[in-house]
Amino acid sequence: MKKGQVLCIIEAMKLMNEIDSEYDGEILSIYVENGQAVQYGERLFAIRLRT
Amino acid sequence: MAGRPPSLKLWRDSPKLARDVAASEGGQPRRLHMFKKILIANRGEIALRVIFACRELGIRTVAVYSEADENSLHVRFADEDICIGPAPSADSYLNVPAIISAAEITGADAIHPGYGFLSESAYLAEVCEACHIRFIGPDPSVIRLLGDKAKARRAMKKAGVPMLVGSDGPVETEEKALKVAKDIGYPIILKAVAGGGGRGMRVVGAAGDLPHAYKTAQREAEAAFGLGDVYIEKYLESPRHIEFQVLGDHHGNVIHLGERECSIQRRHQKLLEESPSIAVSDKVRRKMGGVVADAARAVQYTNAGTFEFLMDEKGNFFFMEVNTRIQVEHPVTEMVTGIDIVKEQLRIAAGERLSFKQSEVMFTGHAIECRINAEDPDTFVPSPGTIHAFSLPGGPGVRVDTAAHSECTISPYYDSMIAKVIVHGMDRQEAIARMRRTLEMAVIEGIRTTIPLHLRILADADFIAGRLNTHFMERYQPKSKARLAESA
Repeated sequence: MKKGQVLCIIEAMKLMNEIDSEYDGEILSIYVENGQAVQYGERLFAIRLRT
Repeated sequence: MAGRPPSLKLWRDSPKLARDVAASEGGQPRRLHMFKKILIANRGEIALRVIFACRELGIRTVAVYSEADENSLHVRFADEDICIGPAPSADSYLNVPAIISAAEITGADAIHPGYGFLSESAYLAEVCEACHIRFIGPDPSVIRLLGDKAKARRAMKKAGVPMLVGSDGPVETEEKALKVAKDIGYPIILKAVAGGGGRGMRVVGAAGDLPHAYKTAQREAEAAFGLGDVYIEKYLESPRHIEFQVLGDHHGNVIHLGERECSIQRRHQKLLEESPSIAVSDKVRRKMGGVVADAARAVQYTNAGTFEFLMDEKGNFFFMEVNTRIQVEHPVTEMVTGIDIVKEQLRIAAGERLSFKQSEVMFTGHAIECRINAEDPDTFVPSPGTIHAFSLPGGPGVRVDTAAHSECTISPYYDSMIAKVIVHGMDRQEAIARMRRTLEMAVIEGIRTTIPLHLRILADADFIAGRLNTHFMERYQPKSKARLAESA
């Protein structure tokens, strides 16, 4: 994936917030399921940066 | 009595009513047809608001709640409560079978749907009717007619309500859209027939942008409402949002309670409302109020409803839509008229006549409401969490409608409004000053709120001068990189 690409949408209080990637790189793992509730600071993805 | 829907007859002939009449004979004085027990199919401050009205009228209440709302005030203060499902709205507050079952189990005579959730669901109204439970709102056929934006437009045009030029009905193809738009003249706006909340809406400035906008609007409408139909209207550059409150009984009486100015909105969500509008004279209020009451009568409108309009710089009104429910901002109208709109809803639904005539409706002073949201005041990012300190000052002319309190949790599952602060003053200037001192002394800790934003609005030179239009909030656009999917 590329910097600025939408990785996921987090819904809070009926608003859909697109979460963009801050880096170019590769997603190694996804720690959450679709529809799962998440907290501030929670780990969502592991990304290997492209160098 | 031509205006009376058949459902009312059903209600009056029902065995439940016979029981009511019998029960009313030995007890405290009560109205012959008034409900004994009302289920409130909602949460938060509006559920409490309905409980207030019920308690004052001596009606028992049933709260329904999701697992996330177990400790909410509406659950605590209702006479009975029933859990109707897990936190997501689709499984609880939108779950019609669960809500109807709760009403059956508790023996509720009527359901008040509040706003949002199922408040404009013709389906719920129909199911209620079939189950001999009174739905506190208009007849299902009226909800359905006015909920279809294209049909509502046609019905209102026929009833003499002023309209923006547009396609009379959905535009099925891109070619047709291009032709209609050319006839009307750009800019135009595409709107979803099933519309609401700004979804499936696109402003188009020139023919070159239309094909793309048409496709996006259709896709968005399809995703949001399950119906991709869109229609076209002329787009006004800098209108005010002005709406009129109406009340209609089952005996053909319809009155209006004046207007509310709701131009201060962000992403079609109102932030601050006031009544009266600085742009509406007594003469215009009488004229437009009359137009609206006649239109409501023409579609046999009953219960509380709101007719929304855009108003251009020259003072011309153009119909937008009808909301067939109580609205969030109803308190500003209550403050200037002294009429309890929720109580009127209950009386109307029970078959009573309106207790006053149009000529008896008086408007006194000026009221303003601020919707306090759990959001960052600069970036508008939602801020759910636990409130550790919660204190909103009272004093003369201040009303607070809220279900929040110290140590309550603001859940991420529902909308972000945590309180409505409403003030009433002799005039607009006093109302503004009163709102400022109230918000300056408000203490809410643990989450971020829009109070600092409201204070900026209240100090804005354009706001103070009443120079308002629906673009007002653009001056406070967030500089954050957080972007909302809606705008993509």
